[in-house]
Amino acid sequence: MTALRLRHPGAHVLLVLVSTLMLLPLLFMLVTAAKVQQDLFTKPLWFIPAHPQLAENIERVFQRIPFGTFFGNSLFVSIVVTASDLFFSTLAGYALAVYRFPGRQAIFAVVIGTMMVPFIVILIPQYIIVRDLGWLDTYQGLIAPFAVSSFGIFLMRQAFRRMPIDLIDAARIDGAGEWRILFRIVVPLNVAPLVSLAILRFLDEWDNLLWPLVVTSSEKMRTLALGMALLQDDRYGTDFPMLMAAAALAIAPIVIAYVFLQRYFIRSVAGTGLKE
Amino acid sequence: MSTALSVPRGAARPRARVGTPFRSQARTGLIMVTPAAAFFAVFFIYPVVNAVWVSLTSWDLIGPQKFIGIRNYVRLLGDDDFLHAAWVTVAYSGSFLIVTLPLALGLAVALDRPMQARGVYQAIIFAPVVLSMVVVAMIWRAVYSPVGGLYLMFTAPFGLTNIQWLNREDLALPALVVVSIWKNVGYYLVIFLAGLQSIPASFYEAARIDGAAPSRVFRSITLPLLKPYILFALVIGIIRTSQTFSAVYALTEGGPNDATTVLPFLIYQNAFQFNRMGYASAMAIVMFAALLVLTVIQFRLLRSEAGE
Repeated sequence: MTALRLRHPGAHVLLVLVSTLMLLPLLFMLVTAAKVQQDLFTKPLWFIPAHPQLAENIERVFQRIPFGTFFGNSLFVSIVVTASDLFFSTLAGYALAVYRFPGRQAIFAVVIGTMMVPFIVILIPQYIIVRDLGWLDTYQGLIAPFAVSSFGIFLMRQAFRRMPIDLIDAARIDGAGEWRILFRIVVPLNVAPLVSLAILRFLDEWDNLLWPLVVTSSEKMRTLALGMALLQDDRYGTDFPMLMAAAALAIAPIVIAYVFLQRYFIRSVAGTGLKE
Repeated sequence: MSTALSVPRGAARPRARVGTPFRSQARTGLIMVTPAAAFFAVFFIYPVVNAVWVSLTSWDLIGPQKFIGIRNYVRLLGDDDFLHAAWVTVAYSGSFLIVTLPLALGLAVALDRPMQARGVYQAIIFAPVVLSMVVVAMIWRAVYSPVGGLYLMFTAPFGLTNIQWLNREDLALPALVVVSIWKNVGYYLVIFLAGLQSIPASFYEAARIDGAAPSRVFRSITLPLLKPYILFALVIGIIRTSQTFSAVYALTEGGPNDATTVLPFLIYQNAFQFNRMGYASAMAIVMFAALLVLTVIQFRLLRSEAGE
């Protein structure tokens, strides 16, 4: 029986309580997604119909909005933004960490400085740029302002600075070119920060609402976050079974990824921004 | 190579020495940094400068842009909507942080030990962090639904039903804060946990041998050593909460009667619903300046702590 005895019962009580509170809204979403709307008014909270209506409710989501289009837009924009940021942040971060060239300090100062600027400050000027480029309501317009992040450059520079410089020197002695050293030696040694950056940037972009709200106008350009926000705005705002089916559909891919990769998700938050 | 090894890492010495000539390496560096630098010039530096310029003008985005000096700023100081939104932002940030940071710290202390199901607890509490805010808001609209909402589970036993959480001026902001806490407490938990794990186990060992009570250990060892992490969480927390937009847009649309209109939402409304680009920019600049001052003060605190 000793194996079953719980150590630290007080900690467990607190953690079970909080964990339950975290899971309840998600469970409620799933249960509601299986109901018909009338059940909300007449049945207990956790009532599940004998014939769960989940499939029917999901079908109604697809009748109501082009869910696949929104989802595809979000996926495409998030992947392009993430890939672009990984590539250019690696280049810039490596240059700032390893090479000495005129303007290096100034560029790094600008990178740090822009990390402090709230997005709302540059929202209007960025909108004007994208409008003048004729990119309103296009993928370019959705992607452009996020193609490189100061956070990404900062993170990669810090990672590259922690590497022993002698490794790079040794590769130079062996006659490897600078680009070859970066992509064949340095990048493979820094997969961990790259994964962290990829996760954070993807989630940020996936969750972006304000920018798509401002630059898109046609339904076919909407991202998932925007599509979901507008779905609940209209006269379907209290059709909770349909809305919860949509919510469940929208978070399913992220939740599945999280279940398998949660160590990396958590590490990406824990390991970034904390170290000098 | 032996001299190279003896030089401490990060010390100021030319990093480019061997192989390709120095100048060629500098050129490679410039080539690598140019795309990002050009991007920053166009999409960050120019916009910041332009935001200041726009804030000095009267402009509806379509017609001519008219320079009006600091009149937008003067008007702001007497604008009840702006002052109200500033207050709502402070109230939102403040009440969020007052609840979230101690809660996250308590959870981190509870988790900072070898215990059963540790990974499961952490994964569950962190889970909402990875979810999209808009979808979280959708779920919580159902939770707050006056009839058939999940909140009834907690209030119905006390005879409280049909509560209009999102439609009552006194309840909408607390309701919004609760959603933010649920969504973000895991983020701060992970920060504090990283801090706790940086405290050497030998400190606790010594305290145990001296027979110190757990509360004493917490006050004399855990809290002081965790201070940099707490300040970091505070800085990040203020920056993040004061920029809240999605939660407000998706949950309350600033209502009822502006009870949840935070500054970013008011700026968005002025810019893209009322077409007052100059006025909206002035608000954004003032908010930025306030955040900057707060952040500088906090970093000063952080540095003086670290210098002790």
